[in-house]
Amino acid sequence: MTGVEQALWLRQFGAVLTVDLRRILWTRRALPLLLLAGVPVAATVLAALFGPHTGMFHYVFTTLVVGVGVFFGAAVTQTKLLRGEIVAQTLHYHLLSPISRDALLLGKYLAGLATTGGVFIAVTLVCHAVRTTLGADLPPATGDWPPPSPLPAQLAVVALGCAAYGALFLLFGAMFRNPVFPVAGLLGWELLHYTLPPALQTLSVAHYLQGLLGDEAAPTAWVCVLALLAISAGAVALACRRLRRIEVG
Amino acid sequence: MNGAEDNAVRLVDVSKFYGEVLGVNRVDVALAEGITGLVGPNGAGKSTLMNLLAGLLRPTHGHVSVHGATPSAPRRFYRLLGYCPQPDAFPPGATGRSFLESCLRTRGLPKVAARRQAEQALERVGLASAGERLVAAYSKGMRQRVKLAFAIAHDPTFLILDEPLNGLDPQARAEAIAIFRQFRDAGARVLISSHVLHELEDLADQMIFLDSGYLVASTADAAPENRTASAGEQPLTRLSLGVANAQAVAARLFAEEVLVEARLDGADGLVVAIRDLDRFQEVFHKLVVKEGWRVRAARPVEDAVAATYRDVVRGGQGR
Repeated sequence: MTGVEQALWLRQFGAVLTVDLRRILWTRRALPLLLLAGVPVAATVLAALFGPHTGMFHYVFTTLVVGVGVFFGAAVTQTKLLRGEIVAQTLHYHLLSPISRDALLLGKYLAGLATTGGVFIAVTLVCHAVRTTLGADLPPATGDWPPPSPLPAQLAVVALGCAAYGALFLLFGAMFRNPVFPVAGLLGWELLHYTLPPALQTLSVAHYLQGLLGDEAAPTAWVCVLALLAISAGAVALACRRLRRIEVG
Repeated sequence: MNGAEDNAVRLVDVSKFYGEVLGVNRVDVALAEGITGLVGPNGAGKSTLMNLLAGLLRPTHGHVSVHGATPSAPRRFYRLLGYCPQPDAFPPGATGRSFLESCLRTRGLPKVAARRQAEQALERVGLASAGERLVAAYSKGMRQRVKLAFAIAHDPTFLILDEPLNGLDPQARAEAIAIFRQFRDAGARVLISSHVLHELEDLADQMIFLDSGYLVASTADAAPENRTASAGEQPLTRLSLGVANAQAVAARLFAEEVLVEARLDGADGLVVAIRDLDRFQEVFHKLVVKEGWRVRAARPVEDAVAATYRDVVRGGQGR
């Protein structure tokens, strides 16, 4: 690719990214995302005000931020990026442009990732602020209650969770007429992964996210980071391949 | 590729099947400069043909090229081509201006240039004053004009317009036709579809007539098997045969090399295209006796369409 072509590629990629960011944030699509963001913040405030100890914060993060927020936030955002345009019969406006379909898909993926990542990183930071201010006087977690994970680990989990789940959901949107069923399938797989044999557990995003939070049964943090990046890259590559073959008629 | 080919818009032996359903079959035609009308009844395959030319569909067989570029090289292909699609759909929340601007920016134009070209395109289609309104609040005619603006905003050399006059009031229709003629006068090729023949009669320099996925007549540069019969050449005859075990019958007739095309019409029906009717009759009669085929009916299928075409196109040429 020459310098001129590279500049053109970047301009086109940037245009898709900007347009999709605007569409995600300034249309009704933003509502479920904001609702999912509000729940863990509210739960953290309640835990800080009325909780018996800091152990509640760990569950708010793993369940409401990652398990519900990141998972479903990525699902409602990324599945619609391609499938929504196919259903609305607007994808052809993109496909009739002199843009490579890979640039189109990457622009859409990064718009979805920036949105979900941005929202849930903000949620994590707000929850942390609430915990360290309103909940500063709570007694530490005891017994079976694990303490809250350190903030850098939480931020890494949110960012990589949005990247990996987002890539998988983008792929589902590219491949399936109704992505709800594969999303439900993935949810079941993620919920039950710890009951599976160790070899199958490695095929789960949750397995590596838990590794980043210090789960001793999971691989080391760096292996988890690499595995999550590999899942993201693999799913985006497959979605690119699918988009290259999509026909609109 | 020679210069002439490089300058042409061609469909080369193009077929499109959706599973077993025929979209278009063996269309081989080159579009001359000027305005080409693509005419046919609803379901004839006009939109399929246009989507194939626009690279939105991939041919099952054959290929398309626009001035030597193919859809597999989108950078060059889509710079040359502008398409006004049929679906009346727009991104949610878009105004006429923001829609065009975002499309032009996706084409790689810097922000200022995209804004300027969007403005010019809106002016050309008479929507400059409505540019800031939501497309969702536009009338059908206005939405049609936004799609036309989308097609022409980057000044293409080949314009595909799928039923572009639908929903336009007489004044907007006259303005749209003036735009098509401007493009023609500037040396562009324009392909316009309609299921209303008289709509294109005065507008088109040449006509292509589609029916049931087949190119049944053309004044453009069509391949011999698709072209309307010229002097010394036998025309294609299409027959509908009601015959048991139609698939096996078609296979046998193909083996005897008496068919140009065949299409199954249910389990016991067959539509065949024949170049040499006398030879077909001779072979068919022998096989009916020899193989014991049970033939319920045999009737021509294209007469009405061909007659309409002759009345409109040939009549128009004679005036």
